[in-house]
Amino acid sequence: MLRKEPIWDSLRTLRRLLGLLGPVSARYWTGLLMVVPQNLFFNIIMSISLVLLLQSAERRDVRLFMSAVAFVSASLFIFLVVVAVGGYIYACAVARANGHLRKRVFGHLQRMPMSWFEDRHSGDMISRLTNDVQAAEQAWSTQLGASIAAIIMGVGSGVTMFLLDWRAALLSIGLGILGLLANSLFIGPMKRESDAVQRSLGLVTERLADMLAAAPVIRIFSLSSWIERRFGACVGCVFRHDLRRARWSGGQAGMSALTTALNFVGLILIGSFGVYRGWISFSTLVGVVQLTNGITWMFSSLGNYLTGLQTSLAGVDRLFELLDAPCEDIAAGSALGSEIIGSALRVKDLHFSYEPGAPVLKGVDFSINPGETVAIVGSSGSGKSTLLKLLLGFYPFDEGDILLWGQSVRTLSLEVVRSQIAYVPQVNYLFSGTIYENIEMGRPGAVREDIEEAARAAMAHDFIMALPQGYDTPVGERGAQLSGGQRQRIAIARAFLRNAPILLLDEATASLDSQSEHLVREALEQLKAGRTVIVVAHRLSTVHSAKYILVLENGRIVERGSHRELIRTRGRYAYYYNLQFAEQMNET
Amino acid sequence: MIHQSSQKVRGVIGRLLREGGNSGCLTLKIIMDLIDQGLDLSFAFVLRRLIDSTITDAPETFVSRALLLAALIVLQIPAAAAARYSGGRYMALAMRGMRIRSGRKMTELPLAYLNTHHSGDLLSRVTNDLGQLTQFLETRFTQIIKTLVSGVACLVVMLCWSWEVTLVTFFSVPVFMALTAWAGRPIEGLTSAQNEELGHVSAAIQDAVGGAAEIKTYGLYDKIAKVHDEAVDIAVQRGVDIARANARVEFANLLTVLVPVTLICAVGVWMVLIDRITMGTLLAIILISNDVRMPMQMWHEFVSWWRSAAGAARRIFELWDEPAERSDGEDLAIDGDAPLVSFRNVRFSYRQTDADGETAERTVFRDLSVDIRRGERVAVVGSSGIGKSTFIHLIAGFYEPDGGTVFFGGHETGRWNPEAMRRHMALVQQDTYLFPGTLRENIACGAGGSAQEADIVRAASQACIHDFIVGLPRGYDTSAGERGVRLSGGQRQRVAIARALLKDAPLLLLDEPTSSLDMKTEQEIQHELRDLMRGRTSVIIAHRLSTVRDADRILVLNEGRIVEEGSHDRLMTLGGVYAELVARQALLEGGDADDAP
Repeated sequence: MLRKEPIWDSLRTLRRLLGLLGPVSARYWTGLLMVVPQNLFFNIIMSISLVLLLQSAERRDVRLFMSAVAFVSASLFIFLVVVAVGGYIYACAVARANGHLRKRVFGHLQRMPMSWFEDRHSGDMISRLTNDVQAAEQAWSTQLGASIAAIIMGVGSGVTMFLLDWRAALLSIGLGILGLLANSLFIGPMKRESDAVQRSLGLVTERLADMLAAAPVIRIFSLSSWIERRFGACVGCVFRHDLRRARWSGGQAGMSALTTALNFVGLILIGSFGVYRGWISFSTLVGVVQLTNGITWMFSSLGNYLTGLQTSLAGVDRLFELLDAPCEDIAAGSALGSEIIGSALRVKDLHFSYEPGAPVLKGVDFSINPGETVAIVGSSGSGKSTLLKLLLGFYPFDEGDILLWGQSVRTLSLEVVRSQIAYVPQVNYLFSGTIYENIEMGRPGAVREDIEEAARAAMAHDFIMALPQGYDTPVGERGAQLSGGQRQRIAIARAFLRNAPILLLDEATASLDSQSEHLVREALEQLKAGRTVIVVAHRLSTVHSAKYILVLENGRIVERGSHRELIRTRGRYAYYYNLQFAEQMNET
Repeated sequence: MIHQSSQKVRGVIGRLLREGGNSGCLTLKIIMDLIDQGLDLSFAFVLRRLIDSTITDAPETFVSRALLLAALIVLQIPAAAAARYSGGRYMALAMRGMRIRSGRKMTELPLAYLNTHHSGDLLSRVTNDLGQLTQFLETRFTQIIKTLVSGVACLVVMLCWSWEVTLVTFFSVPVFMALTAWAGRPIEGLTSAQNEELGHVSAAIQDAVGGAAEIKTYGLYDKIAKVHDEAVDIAVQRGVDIARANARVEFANLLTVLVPVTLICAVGVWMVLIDRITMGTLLAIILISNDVRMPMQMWHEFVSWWRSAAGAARRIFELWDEPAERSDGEDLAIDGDAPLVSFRNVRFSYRQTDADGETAERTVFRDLSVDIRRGERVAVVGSSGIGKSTFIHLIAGFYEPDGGTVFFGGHETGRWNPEAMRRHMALVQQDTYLFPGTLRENIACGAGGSAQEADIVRAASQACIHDFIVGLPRGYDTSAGERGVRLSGGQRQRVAIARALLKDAPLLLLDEPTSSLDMKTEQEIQHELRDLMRGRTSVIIAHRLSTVRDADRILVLNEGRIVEEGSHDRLMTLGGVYAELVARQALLEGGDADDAP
């Protein structure tokens, strides 16, 4: 639900939005000015033409008639051209402005820090973004134009009317306003009933969704008739509100007819009487009546346009929130020095909390030498994933330090740090594109041979070639559905292509089918070879082969050592490990 | 081709009006609309004389005409009100009938249909498509009729008053309409091209959000931005093309409107100048010329209204025409000698149609044969997503196997009447739905909706939920579901267990009953589950191996076949697939120290 803001805030947002027009600003305003007064000018032209034509009829003046016809034809033609051309210029400007806005928002979106993404539900974020961009488009394409048009129309018509005959103008406007007020009596109740209809429809939809989801239960417990009865009651609710709305609507139609009638009586009858008595000329009367439409239109539609505009501006505000939010600066910092001091990776007394007062890592401390593999185990919530995120620089840590080849990451740029690391996540994302393009993400611009070599090393080449389109098979949302094991191997291929010295590996918790499992395990063993590896382990083979294991609990390392050492210690690790199958595991 | 499709469209709309029923209401609306229009026309007649009387200075005529005008005005008020009201009422009645029918269809459709069709699509038909029809039924259908009839009537009148003005004015309209149509032809193609690009833009945004981690770690900013920006540029280009086409359309459209108006004024005034018609006639002509121009101007819109209503109605009728689950078969008696459930060489593949109409097929069972004897507790395990639920669905007769036979109570499931067969079964699922109703009603579900209070209380007590319920302010009358009391996962499952206990069926089907619960709650429910399973034959699908340990027999499914079966201890000694699964789970769940084996 977008809330409506006070007028001043909306105006400020509008001004800022218009500021974003940038290079197309001139074309936008030109087009707008050509298009927006069209209804007014049309009314005025018609009004004047009618006056002239009818005058010529009254006075039987053929010359006046001819000039009137000439006037009408010429002005209407000019009008046509201006409107068509102006519309084109305006629409073009809007299309280009939309393009600029989208690019700007996207560029900023990409560089938002991970925390921004993780705080928000992704589907929600995407639909918000799409909706908000569309709201901006609506604001500066139709809503702003329509609002200005309505104001110009109303004011312009009013002024012209008064110039023609102020008495008829007053009468006309007075009647028009009365009509609108009478109508508004019905709008409130009708909206109430419409809202009630929407709410009841929401319930109906819920019931239907229930019926789908609980389908087996309904059939096994023979609940159809019971469900149908309740559904019928729900639908009956909608019916009652629909009917009530119809009643109010009928009343409004009657009232509308009444006010139109009164307008007619007032203007035509009184006006005719006035013509009869010579107070006003017939042609002038017709001219004034013609222009009344303009004023009543302004009163009835301006409210809607402004409300629509305000709603859109609320969406635009959210876009500005995004554009104003600070993004990740990946280039700030220095490059790696050529000297390597000490271990490949050293984590020194690391403290981190997502929210103040709720620490997740409480002094994690360890170091890894080049080429070693360290496995991390621990229950969910112990801080394993958080540790990986900090190593990737997704969040700034509170206390402690991380040293990469002896240099503190506080001094290095994010770009440099991440260039040293290849990351294979639990569930990797497949971008919309082909398999080739997805593997290429490991090192954009890599040549075909390198990509195929990476795929071979990841044990993925065979299944890729088995697909009808091979490497050019589209994947992602609109493409082939790959199995869990296949996705994993693509992620591994990416990591191979990247060829970074450090590997962060987050093992999947869900079990793969045995065939895939075997291939993935082999691919991972190859990937780990010769690299410095930190793996969040869920496989037996991983903990068996790691150089040493860190057991994380509540943000602290409670045990460390190789698998054999830890089993012998009979501590927490040994307990987890032996939990459900004591007889089976042979102690190596 | 066009002729054929317009035939079909007419047929669909015809059916829509028939299914909507309430023809009396509809007729009333049409009559009221026509009266309303008729009054408009009479207006013009009277106005004509009125205006002329002012010019010719005939006061008596003026007064009498004025009074007549007033009378017509007064008559229009009830006519307009009645027309609007009857339209709304007709729509309300028709929609109610169609919604109820759609709801009934949902409960009648075979489960196989529901599972193979995208649920979002089904729901959309009954909500969005049906909703699209409200406007059509309430106003648009009758508006089309009204406008066409009125247009013809006014045209005739105009011709009578001044055929010269009429002809000159309207000969041009068809020409300009054709011009507008020609100018607008490229727009549809351009719009879909633009939408396609916007689809790519959407995909890029999705990539930016879903792949944020990858983008940051691999430094993919420029690569992804390039895809996005290129798509945006093409979309903008299409937008410009559309703007150009729209300008042409606008030009032609304005001509369609302006030229007749100008001609009427010019030609009409000329006629007055040369005394062929009176001023009053001219103004009356101007007044009703709108009604003649309206159908021509709105023709395209009318066609599009008609077509989209037909499209929506067609999608609803597709649903209604889908055959319900079969209700034939016999009410057989369970053969005490045969195993309660039996599979013989069962083959089954799963067909899924997604929202785009694409069908994918997956083989679930290749050659499944197993007997489940009375009183046996059988557990089914295997890696996720290889059709364990399908096993239960085949037993309950929701699907027919592609090959082989499924037996229940000694008879083929195909011979049983489905409803009669399911009377002998009870189901507890992973996510129990609480229907909107009282807790009493939710438990009474077990007996088909109504049962004795004493039985309900007994079932609830056995499920260990009775004390909690009476502790609530309204007890058993507390409403459940979304707007009612919020029950925890464990409590919901207890309600489901009470439901199953009340039914007291010989076969118990448990589809991952504790998968959505945390380990602690799961432990607590074990007791009630064991109670439930006592003395009954049960088939339990479980993900958590701790639930499965007590089963008499465990079936391990892999690649569509039973690869191992036996008790927990025997399978562990075997050291095969089952043992591996157990091992993997241990490392996963190495969490709670309280979880004593």
